[in-house]
Order: sequence, then structure tokens, then C-alpha cells
Amino acid sequence: MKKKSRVFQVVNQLKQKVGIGGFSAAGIARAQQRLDACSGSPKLFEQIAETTLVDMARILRAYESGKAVKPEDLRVCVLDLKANGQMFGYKSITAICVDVLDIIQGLDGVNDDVMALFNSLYMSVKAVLDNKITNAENKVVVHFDMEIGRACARYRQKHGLKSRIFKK
Amino acid sequence: MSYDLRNVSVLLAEDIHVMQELMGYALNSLGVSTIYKASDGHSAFELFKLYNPDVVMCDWQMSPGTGLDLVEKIRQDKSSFTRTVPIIMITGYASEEYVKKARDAGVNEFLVKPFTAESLAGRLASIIERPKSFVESAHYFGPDRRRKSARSAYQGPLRRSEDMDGAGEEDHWSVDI
Repeated sequence: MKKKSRVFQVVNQLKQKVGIGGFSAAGIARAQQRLDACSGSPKLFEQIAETTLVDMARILRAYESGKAVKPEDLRVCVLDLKANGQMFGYKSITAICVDVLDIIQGLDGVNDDVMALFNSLYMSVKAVLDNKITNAENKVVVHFDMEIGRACARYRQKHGLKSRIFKK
Repeated sequence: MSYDLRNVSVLLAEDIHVMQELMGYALNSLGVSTIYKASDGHSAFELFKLYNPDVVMCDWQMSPGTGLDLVEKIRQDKSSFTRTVPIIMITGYASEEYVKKARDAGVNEFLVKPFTAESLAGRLASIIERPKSFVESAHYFGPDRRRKSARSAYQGPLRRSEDMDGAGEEDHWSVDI
């Protein structure tokens, strides 16, 4: 027999526990101070990025040796770099990840072209980290961003894709 | 007067240690005293069964067991009476595709990195103040995925009892990018 759907309300135990009044402005300010302290500590991101770079190198080697690589493998690395870069004061990394991420997001399967983009991103991220460039407006970062952007534009043209990103 | 979160427990599943610590500090600052931490979806589910937390916050990208796997396990585990626990998904990307996947797995709220303390508090306030109804069907168990804004196109009189609960409310399936 087919199961019937039902909609039901759950007792709001959370509300019963916390009471009324919302979050205190002081609590939010304290939490923001913590977050700001981290964005002022790019060293924290360097630790995260080191791990991600190792993963990226492993994925590139696997593809070169003919092993199966899933789009999700690429997505995880680029997403981590983009999101955590911004969070921990490495806006440079976030800036150069945006275009590649846009392509990887809509990927059904990996191909040589996308792996070449992934490799370019790997090399760029490595260079930015080696030189500890955190600023997205740095000349080198702007150059990397432009080059990766052009490569992504060529990829989109070749594979008939549209960009879903908006850059200021 | 403000919320008293001293008796609220949060399960925080995040694979990046630094990020886990940061989230923990931020939650502590907001008044949450009990935080159970896990580094992957599998161990998070074990902690979930053990401690029965009031809120689950999980990163999407974790291994073994992604955040999405964790959400599915929690929502599909019929042996648990806490299947309705509010879940906040933390992710670095909020494309329509991602939001839809998370919503279909049974996520209540989305928190996009990089986030502010304000947006973190906002997501928590949303699950405290505006809990959604739950839907149980053959293929889905989780918060009601229908958007209230779709109903708002209706101009006639409100005659259903549930209309009274949320009349005039904005859809709170929102994402900060």
C-alpha cells in the first residue's frame, strides 16, 4: 500500500529552552571579534591550504596515471580554497578560484581541458602561497586571475558553456 | 533580556580543525556552552545518536561521510526520535543546485562561508523562532520545502488553520552569499 504523506508540527523545544529576546548584541560582537581575529591570521589558512594542495597534487597524479577522477574530487578542493581563503584573510586565493569553480560546479565528468584548468589553478595557488600574497589586488594575483579567467573563457567557448558568475 | 543558550547543545561537524575551533569559539560567544565536535560525517552520526543534540551544524565537504550523508542519515534513521532536529549546513558555495540538494536531503538552513557572526546568529534565530512544519512521505522526511512566498500570490481570504500561523511571514529559506 502506498504510504500517505503527512505534514506535522514539531514541538519547539529549542524555543522553550532559550526563552525570548534574541541574541545579545554583546554576544554577536564577541563572536565577530573571534571571526575577525581569524581573518587577520593568514597563517591559519596556510595550514589548510597545504593540505588542499597535497590533495590537488594527488588528484593530478591520479589523472595522469589513468585513474578515475570524479568532478566531486575537484569541487571539494576548489571550494575549500575559495571559502576558507576569504574566511582566513587570503582573498587572493578566493579571487583566483572563482572562475575555475564556476566551471567545475556544472561538470558532469572530467576531461583533459578541465584537468588543465585544475592544474593551472594548482600552480597559481602554490605560487601565491609560497610568496604569502594575501591581497586580491596584488599585481601577481590580478595577472593570475586574468590568465585563469581567459583560460576559463576558452573552455566555455569550446564546450558551449555559459558563465554563471558576476564579477564587479 | 536575551536568549539563554546555556542548556542548548550543538553538534558541530567540520573536517578542518581550525574552522572547527573557530566555529566553536563563535558559538561559545553567542552563549552555547555544550558543543560536540566531529571531523567527519560518520563520527558525527555516532555523536548524534549518543548525545541527542538540540542543533546540528555540519560542513558539506567532509570525508568519510559528507555533510549531506549525515543529514540523510539523521532524517532517514527511523529508530531515532530526534529525526526532526534542526540542521544548518555550512558550505563555501550556494549555487541553486547545491541549495536544492541540501533542501531535498532535509536541511533547515544554509550558512555560506565566509560568514559573519550576524549571519550565524540569524540562522540560529531562524530555527528557534520560525521552525518549519515537517513532511513525511514515501520519498522524503524533513522540513517543509514549500516556499511561503509561492502561497503569497493568493489574494483571497485565509481559511486554513496553518495560514494563521505564518500569515504575512517571508519565506525564510534564505541564503547569504
